[in-house]
Amino acid sequence: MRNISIKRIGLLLSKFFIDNRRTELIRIITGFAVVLFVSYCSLHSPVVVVSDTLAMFFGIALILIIGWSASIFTSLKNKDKAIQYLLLPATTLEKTITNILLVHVYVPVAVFVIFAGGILLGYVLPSPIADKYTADLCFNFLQDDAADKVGTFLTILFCQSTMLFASVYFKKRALLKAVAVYAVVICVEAIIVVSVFLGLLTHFNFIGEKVVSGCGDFNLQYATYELCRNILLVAGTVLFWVLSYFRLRETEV
Amino acid sequence: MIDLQEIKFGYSKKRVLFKDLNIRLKAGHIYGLLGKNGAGKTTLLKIMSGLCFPQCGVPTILGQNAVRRAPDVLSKIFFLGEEYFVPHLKIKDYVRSLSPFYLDFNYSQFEHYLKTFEIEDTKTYLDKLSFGQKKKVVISFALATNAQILMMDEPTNGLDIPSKSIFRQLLAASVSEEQLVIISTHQVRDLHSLIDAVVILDNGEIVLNEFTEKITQKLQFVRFNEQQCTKEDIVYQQDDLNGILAVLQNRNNLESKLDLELLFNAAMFNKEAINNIFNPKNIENHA
Repeated sequence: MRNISIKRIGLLLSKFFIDNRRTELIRIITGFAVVLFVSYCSLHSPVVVVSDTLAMFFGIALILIIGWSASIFTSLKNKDKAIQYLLLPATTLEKTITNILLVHVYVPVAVFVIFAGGILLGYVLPSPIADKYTADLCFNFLQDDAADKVGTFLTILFCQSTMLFASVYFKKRALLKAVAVYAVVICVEAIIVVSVFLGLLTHFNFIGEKVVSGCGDFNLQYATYELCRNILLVAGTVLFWVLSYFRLRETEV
Repeated sequence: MIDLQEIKFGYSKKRVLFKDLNIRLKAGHIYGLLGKNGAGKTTLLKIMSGLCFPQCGVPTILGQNAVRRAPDVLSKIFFLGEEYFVPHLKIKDYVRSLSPFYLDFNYSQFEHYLKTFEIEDTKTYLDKLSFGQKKKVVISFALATNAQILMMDEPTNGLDIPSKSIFRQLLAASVSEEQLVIISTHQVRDLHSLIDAVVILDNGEIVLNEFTEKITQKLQFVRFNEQQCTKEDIVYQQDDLNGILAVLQNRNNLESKLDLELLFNAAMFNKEAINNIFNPKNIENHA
């Protein structure tokens, strides 16, 4: 039997939407209501600061995407559910692809619909103090620098794939545990960086001098840095997909 | 259909549950998997279906390694756990969500089974049903999949007395020669007149794996007075309100009705005698 069947992936997606339609609908409606409220208040306020509104929208979207990604795969949450899921007639690869589609396609599309719909409706709702200039600026963020958007997109993709892996690996409270792991990793990284640099500066002044003096020679172009970062983000995303696949394949109940 | 050879399994390296376990189950039979609590019945079913991976040995199901969880195998088996997950869905939506995965699923059969269990309204939400009602729906679904291998873990738990009887009737009527049904239970009375093969498990070991016909050929289940038989024929005996119930070695090919509970107790208390009677060297095979 083939390892990938489009029909079975379709069945898995259909099963997801039939089983979770109530939860997903509640999420979309709640998200839409929050965005509508925020956009209406911001766009119709005479004292609004555009950059603050944009940052707030971006923050909400990011939290929504990451939180949603972490909670989309709940099939291993309890033993009985896991038995049913693992014995569903589909290959592990098909199940992983279905999860990837849900996390990387369905969730961003749903969030986009929530935000586009919420902002648009918030803007067109009648208000005596409607500020067209502010609203236009809010939509203009979509036309920002393309390079920045690729970076942001890939960062979100990477975060989502880590959440997908977390939900397969941890089974319960994936978001909380993943955030805790992130926090620990960031703290350890910060401690290492700070201690290494402080140590180097304090005890090995000559290295510091060399580094500083050599800055001109080894100055990395920003574009090269971006390229390296993007490659790492893509590689990291794929790595977590592969890890999710193997974790799912080796899951026992 | 199912072939487990030299299986070693444990939930930890120190606590081994199965060691060199061998069992072969054939199509066209309803097997009763009996054992005390914690004997490993559910684990054995999980190994057979590919939910648990053995440390050694290969569990083969429909000619393929169960560990691979191949979709063509999974679409031909149905595992009904003791407790079964049901989403917040109406019965008809539940069927719409799950049935396309099972190519031989028959909706008319499903409706018929539901009706027999006296569940008429398919617009009811599954998670709002009582445990027993839920079980009836899931049993109906399991039977309607027409899966080649049907594994049921304590299927009668939570069913009322009439429903247990309906369950037995439905199962007996729906199973074909191509199908294999394994029912794991510690309530042996529920399987009476339903199964045609018995597997008894104790401490991770197969004590008995025989067809009921062969069991009654080799053993006799009687109520007797002690004076009536020689002591060496007695495999097991227990007091009863009306006398003594006993399992005897059937040396004279006398007919008797299989008493599952008595057989189970005999296998638990006199494992050695049972092993000797049913040829210990080939106990795992129905060659």
